[in-house]
Amino acid sequence: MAGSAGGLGFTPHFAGFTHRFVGKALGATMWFWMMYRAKQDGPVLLGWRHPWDHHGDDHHDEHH
Amino acid sequence: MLLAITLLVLMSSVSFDDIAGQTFSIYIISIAGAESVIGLSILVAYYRLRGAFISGFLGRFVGTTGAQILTCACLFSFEGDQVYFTDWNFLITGANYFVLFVGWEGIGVVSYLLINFWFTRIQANKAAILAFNTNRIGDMALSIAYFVMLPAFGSADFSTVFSLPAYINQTTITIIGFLLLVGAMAKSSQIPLHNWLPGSMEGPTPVSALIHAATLVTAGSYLLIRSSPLLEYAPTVLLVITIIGASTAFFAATCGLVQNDIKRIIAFSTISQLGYMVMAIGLSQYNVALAHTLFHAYFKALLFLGAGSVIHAFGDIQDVRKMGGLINFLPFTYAVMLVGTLSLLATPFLTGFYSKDLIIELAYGQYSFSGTYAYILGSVTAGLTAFYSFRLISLVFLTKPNGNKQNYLNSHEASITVIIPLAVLAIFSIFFGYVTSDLFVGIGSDFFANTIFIHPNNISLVEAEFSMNFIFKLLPTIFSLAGTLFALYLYNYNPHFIDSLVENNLGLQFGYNISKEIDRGVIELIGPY
Repeated sequence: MAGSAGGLGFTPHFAGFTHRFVGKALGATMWFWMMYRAKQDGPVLLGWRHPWDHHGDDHHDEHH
Repeated sequence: MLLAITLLVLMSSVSFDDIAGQTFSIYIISIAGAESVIGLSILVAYYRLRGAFISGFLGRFVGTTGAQILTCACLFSFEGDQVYFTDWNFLITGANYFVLFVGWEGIGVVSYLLINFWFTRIQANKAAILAFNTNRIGDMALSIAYFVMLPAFGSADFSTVFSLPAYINQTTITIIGFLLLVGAMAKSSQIPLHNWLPGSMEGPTPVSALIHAATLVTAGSYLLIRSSPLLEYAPTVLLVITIIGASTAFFAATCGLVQNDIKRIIAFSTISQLGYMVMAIGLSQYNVALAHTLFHAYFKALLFLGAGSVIHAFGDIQDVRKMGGLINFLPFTYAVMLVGTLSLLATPFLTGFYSKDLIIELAYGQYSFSGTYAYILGSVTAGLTAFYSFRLISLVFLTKPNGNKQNYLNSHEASITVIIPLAVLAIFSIFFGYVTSDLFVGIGSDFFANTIFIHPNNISLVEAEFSMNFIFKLLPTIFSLAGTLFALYLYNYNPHFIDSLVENNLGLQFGYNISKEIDRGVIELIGPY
């Protein structure tokens, strides 16, 4: 049990490295995914582009 | 492994170059029904994840070894979870209404037994009896539906019943539809048969996560989706379903705003989301309803299991007013609950976005009165959902600590057996919607083949996708954002505003007027005395 002898002070058990790392990784994954999809599909969501309008990347196909 | 096979089947069924995929898809879809596969995938995913969670969660009560023995016993014998697993399989894979009913009743019985897990607790006894009795009301209506169906169709077989609605008297179809609706209302916790679900939180949290978030409560909407060929010929029933669903979604969200038990907040959130599913069914968008059922299962189970982790960490405290500041003590739990919450709010590009926002758009895309009613309620509910979700996050994790010092000294993150299910559900809550949305709700997707029937008069996906003004499309997201920001401001920067609502005379006088003068006054005016 946490807490020093005599009941003085506040010495809790904070989460270990694994929990903190996995938590940060999941959070970072979520935000990264949202930002990535926002970059790809954000203009469609906000009505600035139609879903069927081509991305600029498709022009690379002309070189085949 | 079964989940992997199921997902493989799902993925291969859309791979038209693959003869194995075509064979699988023909077999599965023609015999079991696509909904059954999805139901199976939900159940298998949760069963395995939940088994892992239970070992960690129940370990405190019966010892780790005892919990593992109990979990294994349930896996290999027909008790508890295994019965539920079996009954749920009957429900979703049955080829006629009678087999469905066997599973329907069975899951109700198991729900009663599992809510009553701590059977020496009177509140648990009462909640279990309430749950079972309310489910029995639905079962009675479902039985009467069969009594009408058998003379009308001569069979309860799906293949017979779904072939004939176009040739049967519409009044008969309407009566059957209403009775099926009452059955679904009880199981899926629609108003006025919703009372049992918050009470069912007396059961262990893994039970709440599996049964009262993901599987049992979706049995009602599953019944209605399966009966789509019948309901499409009963437009009156669809209208009533839409209104009940939208009203339930709004009502439950308002209830969730003022709950103090962490599990009850999530329970009312579940009722609200079930209202969305039923609303989608009323709008004849059965594939979207099923997609929301599946997506909701992931993030709601994540929220429940995360709440269980918080409760376990904090000495079995369930009152959010006695928590606070847990972000530093439970960083992983905070992360997964944030993922679940943002997915629930249909934050753009997370799992919930691909079904929930679509339901609201489809409501408006009907361009009818009931559709607009559903749209307005759905949009306002989205804002309320955001508010109570971030109220929960704020009060549990972000605000200054409000609890007992000893609870903070003893708080600890859960073991690896709990971490893994939470992490898996979080991954699904982030990615699953984007990966599979086109499969379920994409324009031209034939994933459901002929298992779902949408009458051509009711097809409105193209109108919803392409004819709506963008402000109407973005309004639910704007309301969600406003609700989030308001909740974060209110509970983190200006908590005294809430106190001032009850400290001055205005709020109390208003409450007095409502209950003593309007409620009781009306009864005294028109009542017997």
